[in-house]
Amino acid sequence: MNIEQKLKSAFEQQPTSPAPSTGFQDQVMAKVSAHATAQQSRSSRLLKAYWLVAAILFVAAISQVSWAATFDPTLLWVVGGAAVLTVGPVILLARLAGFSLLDLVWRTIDR
Amino acid sequence: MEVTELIGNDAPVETAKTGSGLDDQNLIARILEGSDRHFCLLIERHETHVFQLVSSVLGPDHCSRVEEVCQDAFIKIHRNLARFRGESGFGTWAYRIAYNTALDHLRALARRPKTIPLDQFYDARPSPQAGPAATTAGGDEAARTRRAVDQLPDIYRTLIHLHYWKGLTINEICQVLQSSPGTVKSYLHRARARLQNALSDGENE
Repeated sequence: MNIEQKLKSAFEQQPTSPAPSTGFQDQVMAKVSAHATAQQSRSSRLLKAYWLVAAILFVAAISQVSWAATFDPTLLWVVGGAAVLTVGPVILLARLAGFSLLDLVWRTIDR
Repeated sequence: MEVTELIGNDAPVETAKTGSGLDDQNLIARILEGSDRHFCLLIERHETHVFQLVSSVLGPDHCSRVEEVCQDAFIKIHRNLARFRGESGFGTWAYRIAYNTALDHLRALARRPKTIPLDQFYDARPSPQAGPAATTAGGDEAARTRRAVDQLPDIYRTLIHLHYWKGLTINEICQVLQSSPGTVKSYLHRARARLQNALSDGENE
């Protein structure tokens, strides 16, 4: 038996692969939009985590709490300073608008 | 040897315009503007070739996974559409994504421990009516050939599956791989030669 015949007989009893089903395009579109939503939610979670860390550092920097003393003061002030520059103005504006700090943090996290 | 040497190595084969009558570039422009309907048209135009390619990479043992892998491939195509520069034909670019997605799945499957569902295990057992000679002669030879095909490099295995399992002609393979008949014939010849060597080595051992 030559190689051509061997190959033909090797695959003749094998199952045929499926063709695209009627709902295939809809399934792909559903997965595409689910993927886009998941990506949005991931970046939203990252943003929330950033705001939370920035808020904690800001509070630590301005209130000089005891655990903050375990960090390198330069690092704390650099990161805290960045937090102040970003979160600070937002908090000040929020306070002017009548929100409390805690209220604002929860609103940010729970958005 | 990489598939990129074979897929789309020549001028892209023209694909039929289905649905809207827009060519691929225009469809992509509409999709990037946010039109889901045009992505459906793009899927419709290319799904047959993507299915052929993906099933040939996965092989007869993983038929049940073809649709899932094709879905993943189209999701990747959608996600990366903005990066498509049009330097090659859309088919060439998309089929490479499909080919690589299928290979990734195949490698992931190879890393998993092999399990056979119980019903398939009982179906695969030789029936008591068939004598030992009947089950060994033809069946063993076919199984040995398929095992040898599985050991071939990815592109040769894919070509063998496209031609001998799925029964595609050389011209149809050219459309799936966006390549020329000469190149496909040459690769197929090399694949058969390698397989012949592998099978004769097995017989001599």
